[in-house]
Amino acid sequence: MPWTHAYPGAIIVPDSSILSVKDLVVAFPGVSGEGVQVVRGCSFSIGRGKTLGIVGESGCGKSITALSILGLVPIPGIIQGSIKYQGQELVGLEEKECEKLRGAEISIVFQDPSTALNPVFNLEQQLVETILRHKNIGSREACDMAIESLKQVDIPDPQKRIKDYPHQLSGGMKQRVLIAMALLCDPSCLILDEPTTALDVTVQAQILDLIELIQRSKNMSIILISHDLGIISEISDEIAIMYAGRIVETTCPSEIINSHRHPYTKGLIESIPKIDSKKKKLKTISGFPPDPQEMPSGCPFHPRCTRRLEKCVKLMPPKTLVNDNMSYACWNPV
Amino acid sequence: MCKRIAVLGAVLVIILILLSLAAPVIAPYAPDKQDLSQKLLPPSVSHWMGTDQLGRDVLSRMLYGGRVSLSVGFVAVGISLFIGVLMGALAGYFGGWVDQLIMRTVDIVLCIPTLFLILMLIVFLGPSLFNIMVIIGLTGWTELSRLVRAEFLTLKQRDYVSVARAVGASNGRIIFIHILPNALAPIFISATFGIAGAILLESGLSFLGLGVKPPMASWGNILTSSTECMREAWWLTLAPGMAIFITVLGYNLLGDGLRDAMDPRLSGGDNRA
Amino acid sequence: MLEIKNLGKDYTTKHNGIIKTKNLLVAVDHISLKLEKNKTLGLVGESGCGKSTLGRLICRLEEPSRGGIYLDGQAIHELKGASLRRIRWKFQPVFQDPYGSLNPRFTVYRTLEEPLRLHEKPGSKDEIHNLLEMVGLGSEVMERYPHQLSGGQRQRLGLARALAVGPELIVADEPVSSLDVSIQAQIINLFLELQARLHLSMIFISHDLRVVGHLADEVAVMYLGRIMELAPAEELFNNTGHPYTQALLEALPKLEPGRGRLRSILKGELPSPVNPAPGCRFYSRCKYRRQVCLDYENELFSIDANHTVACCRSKEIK
Repeated sequence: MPWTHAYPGAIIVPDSSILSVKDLVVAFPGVSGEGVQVVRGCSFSIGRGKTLGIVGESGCGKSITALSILGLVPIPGIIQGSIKYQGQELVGLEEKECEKLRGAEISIVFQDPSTALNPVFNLEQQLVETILRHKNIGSREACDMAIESLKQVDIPDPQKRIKDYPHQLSGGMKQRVLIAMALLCDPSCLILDEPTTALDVTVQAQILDLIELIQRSKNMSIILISHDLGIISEISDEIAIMYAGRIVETTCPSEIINSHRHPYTKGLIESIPKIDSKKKKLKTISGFPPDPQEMPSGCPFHPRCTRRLEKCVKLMPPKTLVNDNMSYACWNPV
Repeated sequence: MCKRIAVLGAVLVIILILLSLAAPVIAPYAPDKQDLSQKLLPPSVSHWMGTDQLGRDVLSRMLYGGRVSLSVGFVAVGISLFIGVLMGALAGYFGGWVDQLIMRTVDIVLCIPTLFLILMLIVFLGPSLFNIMVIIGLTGWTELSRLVRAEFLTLKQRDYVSVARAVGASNGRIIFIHILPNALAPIFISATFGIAGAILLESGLSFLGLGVKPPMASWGNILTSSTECMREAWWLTLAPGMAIFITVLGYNLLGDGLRDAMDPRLSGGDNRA
Repeated sequence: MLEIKNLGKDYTTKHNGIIKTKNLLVAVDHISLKLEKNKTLGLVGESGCGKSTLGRLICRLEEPSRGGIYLDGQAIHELKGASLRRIRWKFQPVFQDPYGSLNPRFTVYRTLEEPLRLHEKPGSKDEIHNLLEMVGLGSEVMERYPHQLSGGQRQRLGLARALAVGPELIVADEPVSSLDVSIQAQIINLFLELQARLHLSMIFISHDLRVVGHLADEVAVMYLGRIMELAPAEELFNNTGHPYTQALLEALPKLEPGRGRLRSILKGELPSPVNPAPGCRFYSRCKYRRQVCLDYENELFSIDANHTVACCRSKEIK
């Protein structure tokens, strides 16, 4: 779409979203009785060339949300709601169709680079295999493509490194290879699930820079999932904050510090230690996230909330729109 | 599901043990009472498992033989457990020259074919029940010590071992109180296999005529003598064969079950309270 | 209170190829530090910089290859066997993975009773109840196993375990890294609270500059086994003297829109600590490097009253 290049700051009209998720529910049927809902009504959309950051603590359903987009929810998970990719409905799509989309249109990079590569094959074998599965080209060409893809993620000396086995690479290098692998078929949407959690800060910075660079050159949409609000703010255009399977607030990096509305967002921001906040007590969110099997009534955050009203205990707060990009779900917002 | 299979294993083992313990009470005949007029009879109401070539009641012999076979399993494995766990724990925990010394000893013992070693020792010491138990025990600890050593090598890296050392626990306390209980699962599995193996080994020795001396019965020598007349009375191999098979199966199922039962992570309880 | 002089730890790795080669891995080298009572020293650095090894050396879980550790003037690096065991209560470690540092077969009660028993203190239920209360756990967890606790509860228990013997020094190795943000903040507060209440000295090891900056009075930045910069926390962040510290600060994710910002000043990754080349340890990744750096062995020198730096060009760079 040439117009995005011509007008870098252009306001994206709602229809231009490449992927839109509506009322997504992912449930795992339990051994006895009703199932456990891990994602309980998520809606978001993402524009072409934009980055959506999803933040939340472990167990809030952010990874399952990502997997459901790719049709990779582990059996016996059940997906309800709608996931539309460029107008095409993905929920209920046949496995064969899903496979065609996966990698070619939507790709994912997982958290732990040390287990995502097969230790008994070298990079060339793994990359070429992925290329040949999706593209109808010769193995010589595929090999050239693999080298090219490594060059693209700034791996020095790719002709030589391509013969390396995973154990010969450092954590940062492995993550670069995985990004290269996800990019092999030029997907228009890339999902990054905690891509830098296992890495050191300086390497994390390199990977974030790389992600931004590639996004700009390919006009790719990115869904970035992380527990670290800092990383999300760094490279996102929009931020969705998830708690207990729901998106409790959507906002953008320039607004999050000063005009957040949901008490959970406030709690998260205050929980991050500041480098110069010397030995002061941090404001914390008391308690811990709820067990999906024993979800509290009303707003799921109410047992930990300092701004709780009576109605929070009984009623689920609806989504309140602030503007096109910002919304929150709270009865007593900040 | 898993538990039910384990219980089945335990039931099998317990039934076999009870039957052998109760042998003098429930055995219909004396195990060595010969009656040549009644030889090689097929199973019938008076002889449930038939009679052998000397006219002895196979059922009675099986019950008494069970005592021998099961106790060989227990005692032999007890001996190898003791030596193997001790050697493996010392080698794995201390490393260095202690490890070198113990593991080279293990290598040497393993170099000599076990069966050959056992045969040699039995020839020298004579094939008494006691000797057989001790000899099987003394030759069976090497595999176990390697297993325990490997387990200790990984477990001693755990932070809780560092923690135990940091609060001033002595080496002995760390080995036996902090590490060993966490290494029990594979040891138990191996021990149950070991019991099964010892029973099979004793049967093998009896088969070669170097096991328990007739007329004392063991499952091994019942099996041996029954093979001599397999053409005329094939059913005679069935009883000892099945008994050995069921024992081995029972112990293996039990081992699996014990492992699960001993792991606090698998014994129920919610993950977060 | 605690003084470390010229501490070093080497490992030798052997490769039994066709030709036998012996490699020297210098995990920690030339470390000299001082820690006063009731103060916190933060150790920061990336994985492989030797910060955890240093922590283990101070707790005497690892034998130092050279140098000395003095606690209240006593040379604890010379102690062995029973005399070492008798003094161990003074310094207690807290580990990163609270699950790995708790014996899976011990209940909460047993976990806390064990250290008390070893130091011949009465392991009464009351005492254990007090310990649990101190770290914010109720006595209903007493009979639970570690797998029945949440991550935050486990780390609280790990801390209670360390406090059971009444230590003077806590060496905490990444104690909050595996926890969620909201739980992490709770545990950080707990550390602050307990330090003030029990007058503990602490060594706090973390890869996260934010956590260390928040908790520590003084911070030591480590790189490949050496201290690169040592200064009071504020001084370190406001008046950074070493290019590596600079890079770490720059790489830190900030809570503000950062699109288009260049975060990584450092190219490449940590070089192998095996058989390090002579010269400045940071040479291979430093953008200010010059010929002189190859003759410089990272000796620390003062650039301010309490501020020492291991960079021979720090004055020029500023």
